[in-house]
Amino acid sequence: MFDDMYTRLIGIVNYKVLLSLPIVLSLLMISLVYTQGIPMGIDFQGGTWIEIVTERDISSEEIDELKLDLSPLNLEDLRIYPGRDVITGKEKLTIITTSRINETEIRPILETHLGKLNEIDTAVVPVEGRPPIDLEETLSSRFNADVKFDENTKLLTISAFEIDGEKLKSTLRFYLNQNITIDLHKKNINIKPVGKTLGKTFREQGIKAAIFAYLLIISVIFFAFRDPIPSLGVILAGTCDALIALGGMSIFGIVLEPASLAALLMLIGYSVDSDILLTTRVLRRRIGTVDDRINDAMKTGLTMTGTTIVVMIVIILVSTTLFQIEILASIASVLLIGLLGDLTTTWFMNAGILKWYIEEKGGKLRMLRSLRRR
Amino acid sequence: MEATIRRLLKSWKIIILISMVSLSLALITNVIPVNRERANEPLGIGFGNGLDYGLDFVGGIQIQLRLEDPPNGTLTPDIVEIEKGILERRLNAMGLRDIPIRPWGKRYILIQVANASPEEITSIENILRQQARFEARMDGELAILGSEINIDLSPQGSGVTRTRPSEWHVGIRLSLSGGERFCAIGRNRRGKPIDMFLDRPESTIIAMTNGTYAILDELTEVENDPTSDSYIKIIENRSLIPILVIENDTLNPEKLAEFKGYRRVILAADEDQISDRVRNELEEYNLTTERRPRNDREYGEWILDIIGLRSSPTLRCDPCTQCKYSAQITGSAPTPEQAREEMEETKILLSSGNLPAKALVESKSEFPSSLGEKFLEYSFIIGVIAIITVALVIFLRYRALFIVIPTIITGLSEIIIILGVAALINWELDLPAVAGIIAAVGTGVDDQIVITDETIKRGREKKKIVSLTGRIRRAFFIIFTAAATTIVVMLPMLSIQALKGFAFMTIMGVLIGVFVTRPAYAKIIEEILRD
Repeated sequence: MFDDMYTRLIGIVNYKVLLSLPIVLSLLMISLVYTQGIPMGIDFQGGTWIEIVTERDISSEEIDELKLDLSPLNLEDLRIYPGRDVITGKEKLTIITTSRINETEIRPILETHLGKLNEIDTAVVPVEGRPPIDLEETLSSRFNADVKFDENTKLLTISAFEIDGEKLKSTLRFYLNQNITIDLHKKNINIKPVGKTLGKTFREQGIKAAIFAYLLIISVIFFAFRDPIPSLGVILAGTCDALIALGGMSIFGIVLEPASLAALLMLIGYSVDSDILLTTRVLRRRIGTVDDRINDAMKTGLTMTGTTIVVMIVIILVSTTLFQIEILASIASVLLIGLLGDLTTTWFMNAGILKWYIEEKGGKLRMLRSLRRR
Repeated sequence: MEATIRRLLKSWKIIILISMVSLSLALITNVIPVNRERANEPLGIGFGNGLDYGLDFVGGIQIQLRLEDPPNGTLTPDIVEIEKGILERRLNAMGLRDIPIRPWGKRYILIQVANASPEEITSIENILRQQARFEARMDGELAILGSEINIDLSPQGSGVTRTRPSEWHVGIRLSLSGGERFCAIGRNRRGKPIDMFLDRPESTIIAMTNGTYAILDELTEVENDPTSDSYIKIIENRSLIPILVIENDTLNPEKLAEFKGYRRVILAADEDQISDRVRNELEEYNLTTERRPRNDREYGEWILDIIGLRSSPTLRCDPCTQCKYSAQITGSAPTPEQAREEMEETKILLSSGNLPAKALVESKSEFPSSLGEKFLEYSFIIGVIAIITVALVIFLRYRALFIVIPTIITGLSEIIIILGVAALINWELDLPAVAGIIAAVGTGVDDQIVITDETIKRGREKKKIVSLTGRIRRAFFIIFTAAATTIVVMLPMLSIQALKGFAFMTIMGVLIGVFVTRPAYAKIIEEILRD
């Protein structure tokens, strides 16, 4: 299996053409990412976050039905989960999406499932006689509230974004000099745009970390092989792998979220493995032609990457059919695309770079000299 | 075969592997008790009980913070962003992992914390709530401002004494302008106290009954030492907070008229002493009120809490030469443990900067794991399926069981040891951390294939040229170089909170692989080939 693969490959296509393929592919992917974009998860772009106090347990079947009814709104990356308020003990439902929500659109759908929803606090207070005229003004300045008094029912209605029941009671008792009973309806829905968790700081830190990582890779590889060209090959291959994976995410609509970001970073480990195997076999071995050494490395390398690729395919199949764990499928998909890319970047590009370097630039001679010196 | 196994069991590489795996299993299953309780339930022995699970796996608590308008102006998106950054730094400094913080609407911030004990939640709330406006005053005059200091974060910069009560100190460095002012204010005040405030109430009046006033006028800072200042003096002169005395539970408008430019009143009284009626009258004057009754605390403790006075060490050095640019913030607590906690809290608060807007905890709610209850179980099954797949591919490639079995064994050992270390250091496992483990184990399989190919195939072809150990050494050149490269890529990622878990797990997995499991695998292959 896999014998003399590289020799056969460059028998069909000139190795310099082969060498440029992954670079062209990566450039294509960049333009694709640039024009099409990658769907961003809530942590990267923010969205809308809705909290609803439901007063009762919401079953997972009900959540599924609600999800189905919400589907005409085309909410991206929609997540709905139940929860419980620790202080009041009331049940809650949280709805998160990366889309901006039109409130008037979503409200009726939510209300058919969850009952009447109020966005403000309303207090209804029965009073004796007509309250003093300046009360309305005082209340609206102190509670930022709308105040209405109904002559017939003798009910005072105070509505505000936030009403502290105790404070209102004491205020009314002070102004009206009578016993007060308040019927307070707290707001039970809170729709607000939510910001990203991984914003500007993350981007700045990320860029700094990436620059450091690049510098460190260059030094480690240079230290190992005492030669600048292999560092270049490893860096180029790793960068192209990441670009190809990003392009794949754009094509297949895989959301960029912490999990898929981790997958992109995992790629580095795999990419480095095959590239260092190749570089070591080509530069540190003195038997056979360059092509022989590449053939040899390729046999091992294809086993390595092949094993991982098969595992990823199995994970994707199992997690989408059997268990429906989207997040594992998305990690595995990013890795699969990246590893397929890695096959081209390592064996088309990096192998070509090393071949060109040794055969045409005399890198081999320098290599031998440095080895003899040791 | 038997001889091979006997030889293997004598090899120290195998002995290390076996002992580390057994130790790790004991840690993961909580046989060595690393986790005594989870979600307030006592935790016994059981698979996975030694591990700590993050947000993604077990859900947690969501804290909603509401931001008040800053003292001068209104809340803007920029201020919310600054606020978020400071809160992030504080939580980072507490060493908590993966705490997403997101601005919500115009004046809310949502924070999610993985399941934690009520005490931990309370201490997180404390850290989040403090505005952390630091100032040091002498006789009420401003000596040092929070923005003029840098905390000495080195281990020798701070410490606690082993006594009970225990004293703690945190070293600070003053900026140029800070040093100048400290010198100017402190020059003639050797032997006087430096009052260190954290969040001293600004444009605020303290209202109390004449009874309370009389008691506080008698009580002195140092008990039974009439030469030390009374608490009234501390409030009025050293903290520059005026006191409004309320007699017979009636507000005297003339007295109140003396206070101009104040916006807030702290009622240092319970409802029986100063009634809600008076409170409402005060609100009439456009003052916001806040009630801070003493309850069953000591008078001194209560007052210091209200005015935000943390400690008042005596100035012993010369602020113009000796200690112009370096000083210490000190405090004391009943036990060394509490002192250490207070010290750490002070360090976190002062090094993260002060919040431009006050943050109040609006609500706390539980939320379930984002991945569902079955996720761990399913991941485990998928992991087993992945291992079987690796075995199958390796078997198809080499057609030899004696390679498949060691590959599987070392792969599994690697997972167990990584989890064991995670259990030992209480590392919270979240999704990125699990991805890190998979990355490490995956590259581990890669390395084993390199070792196998280097030894077996080349061994058969060129036995005479290079010895078996020489070939293994060559395989290890590849492995070490790849490992070093992966580690240096991950090192800078450790500085990014969201990727910390992933990077740490990958580095640890690679290190365990390189130093424990890979040598063991090579040894097994070597011994098998020798036969």
